[in-house]
Amino acid sequence: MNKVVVASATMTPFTDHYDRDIRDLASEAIRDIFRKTEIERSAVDGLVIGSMASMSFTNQGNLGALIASENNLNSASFTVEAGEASGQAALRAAYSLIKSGMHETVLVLGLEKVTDIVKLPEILSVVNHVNMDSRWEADIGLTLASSWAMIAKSHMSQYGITREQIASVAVKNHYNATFNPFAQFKSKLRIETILRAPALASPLTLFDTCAAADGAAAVLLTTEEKAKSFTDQYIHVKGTGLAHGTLRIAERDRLYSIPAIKKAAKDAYEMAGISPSDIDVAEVHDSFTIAELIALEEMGIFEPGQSGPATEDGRTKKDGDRPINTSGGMKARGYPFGAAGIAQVVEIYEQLLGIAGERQVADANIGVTQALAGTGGTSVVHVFGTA
Amino acid sequence: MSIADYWRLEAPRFRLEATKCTNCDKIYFPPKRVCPICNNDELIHMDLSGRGRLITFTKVEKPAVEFEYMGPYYVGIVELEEGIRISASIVDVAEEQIKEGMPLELAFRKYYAIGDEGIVYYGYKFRPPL
Repeated sequence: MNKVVVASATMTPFTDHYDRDIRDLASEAIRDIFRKTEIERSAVDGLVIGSMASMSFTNQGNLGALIASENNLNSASFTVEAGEASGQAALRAAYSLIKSGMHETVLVLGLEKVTDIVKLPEILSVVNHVNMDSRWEADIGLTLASSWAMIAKSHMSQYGITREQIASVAVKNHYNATFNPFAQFKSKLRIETILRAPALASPLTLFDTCAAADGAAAVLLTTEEKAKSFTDQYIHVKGTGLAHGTLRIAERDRLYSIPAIKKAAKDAYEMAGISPSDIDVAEVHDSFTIAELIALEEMGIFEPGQSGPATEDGRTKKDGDRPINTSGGMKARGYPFGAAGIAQVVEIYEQLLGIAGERQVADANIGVTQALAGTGGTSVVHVFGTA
Repeated sequence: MSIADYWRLEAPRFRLEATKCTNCDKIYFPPKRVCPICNNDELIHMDLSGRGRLITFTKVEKPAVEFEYMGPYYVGIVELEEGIRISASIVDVAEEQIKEGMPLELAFRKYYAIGDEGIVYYGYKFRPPL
């Protein structure tokens, strides 16, 4: 069977790009792929785009045809949508296209232009309706923040973790981002600042979540055989898992756990032949601070209830023993929804090739990415390796 | 939400009308047209009691645009007497009064209106029993 590899990876800075529209962002990420890599545009026979809500944010659909035709790509092109997990879901689709032999070289583009909607409550409405049960939760007044708040309360009472431990996720991710030139926030954040910020939904505040951002990220997937013809800078895609849970938070048995993450991780690890202790570096979903803590437990990186204390102790900092979100995560690197899942791969690509600069983790051979839509609707996990 | 959608939702939104599978007796709320366990499409309509208790809650301080007019407000998960759990807005309750486990009952309230002259949407919320 074909071995699928990531043979190039790049991203635009993630921030509010008021001077760029969705086509500009896409064209810049694609430009950088072909600048960095000795391959012609004509060699790309597939383009898969991960985008969460381009219709709602920019009034443009069918990004596959738009971006392919605007960028001189004569490739089979389409968009994958899986809420906030769209980028990672697009990667999974691209992987299967190559694994099946249907395509040889597929460009995966994560893309989101958010800030043309300038009012935060209007952005929130889009994000809530896409990722929650639109009719039975978002439409009756629940928000993603209030859903995560109820999850945080449940996790705190189940395991006795503290509010400060939850906030320490944001402190850590901001610290990591100070070493990332592409990050939205390159400033440190203090626990007190998070706790005193305006409330979102108790116990969570504005600084427990991300800011609006635009951006694009791209990775080039191809076979190992093909990659060898133009580069020695590639990493292997070793495993993929995707699982779902109910969109309605009211129907979850235990709010402190997210079964979709556990299932997606288990499937990806089995396919890759690894166990959680083999993971050297991981990019996980941290749209809200509490999300990262639960992800680390469901992914087996820490025992249930232990990710809060571990984060507070600095174990997940870029220089800790279990480095998580070395890029700064969605919290600080920035979170243009569909683009974020591909930016996770960009970070793992750089880490495994040893080109992550000041963010570099020592001896990184196995890297993992994890995405999540809403509070557990869809989770996608990928495992990458140097061999 | 469109006017047709609103019309379709009147029964469940206004009086918690569920559907029940005539084969396995499972009750669905939100209502389903087909029981996915039995693949049975003969479901009967039934109104839920509207009585339940509060499982968990939080206060929404940053509402989405539709609900800005009523923020801040409480939302929570309500377990109905029939064993079904639904999300809802919790109203007529003071900060010192709201707590997990408290009994609640159905209340009929305004959700939101789209624009200054748009249709006003109504539906269920929950309040402490009168």
